[in-house]
Amino acid sequence: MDESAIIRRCLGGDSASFQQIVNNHTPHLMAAAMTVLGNRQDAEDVCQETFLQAFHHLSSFNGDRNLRAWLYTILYRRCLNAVKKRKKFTGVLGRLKTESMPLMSSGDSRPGDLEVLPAELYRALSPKERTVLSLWINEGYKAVEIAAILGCPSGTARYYLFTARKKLRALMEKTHDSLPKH
Amino acid sequence: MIACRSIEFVAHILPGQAWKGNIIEHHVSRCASCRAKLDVQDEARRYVIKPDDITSSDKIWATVRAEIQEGSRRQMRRSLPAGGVWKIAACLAAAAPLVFFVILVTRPARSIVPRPKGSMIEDFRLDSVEAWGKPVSPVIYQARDSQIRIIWIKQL
Repeated sequence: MDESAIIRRCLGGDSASFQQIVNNHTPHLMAAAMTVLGNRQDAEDVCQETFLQAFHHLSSFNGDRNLRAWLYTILYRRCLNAVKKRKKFTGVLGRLKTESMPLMSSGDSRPGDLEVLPAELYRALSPKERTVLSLWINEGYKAVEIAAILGCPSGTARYYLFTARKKLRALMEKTHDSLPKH
Repeated sequence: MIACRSIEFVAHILPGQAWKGNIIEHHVSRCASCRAKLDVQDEARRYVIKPDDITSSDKIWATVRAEIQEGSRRQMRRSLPAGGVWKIAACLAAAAPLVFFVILVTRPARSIVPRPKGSMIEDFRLDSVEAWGKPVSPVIYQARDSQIRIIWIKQL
């Protein structure tokens, strides 16, 4: 069943159909949320909130638009809110080590072939840059599509993408001497 | 290389990020060196979390489903909007003195002066009453605002 049919069924009151949307998009949203927020628990919370918000506002979804891009738009705003909340929280507690929340906290079920860079990546890149990077790498979105998700001009998205790629390159060069240098 | 750095510097000092992005994009599209530098997509794939790394979405769906069901139950249970009862109670409490005042003002005034005997039962009169063949004196009583009339007799 295609997504527009699922959406129609959900709007008709069949909330169980929404499971298919959740199952289809959870891995993508979780990957982006974990890249932005840096830990699995927060990412799960944000994803749940995203799907709930999407379910309640499904009637406002423009069928011409890509559903995943719409979900990413909601997710992005939720992630920024979560980051703001965390900043407030850490501020109140006298800058409780944010560094103690590495991207790969213990308990994250990840295949073992991933390297240590993400924790550094998490520190080096801003939440916006991490979002842009995740969308660019995982979805192959161009600056225009990323800008639509971020709600900013495409030039701004390009700049975020440029800085994110530059920082990523610097980090990769720092950790991997084997990478070709230009 | 100097040109690349100059462009980057100019982009850095520009105020709007959209401008920065456009200038850099324009330069990168023409500069093979910068393009190669930024071509990290394939290598970076190893470092960012990919959708394939997320093993299960069951937990998310379980929570979302529970929230949706709870939400619909709440909606069914709640016939009034949140705080509606309190709002109505507050409105009633505020309106009560006004209603009381209106009733007090519009109520017909009662005369505290007793009505004269004659006017009490203008439509009802006893000229003469006899009991057991003897004339007796009737007494008619009607309570104020009542339709019941009580008559008793006194021996003369």
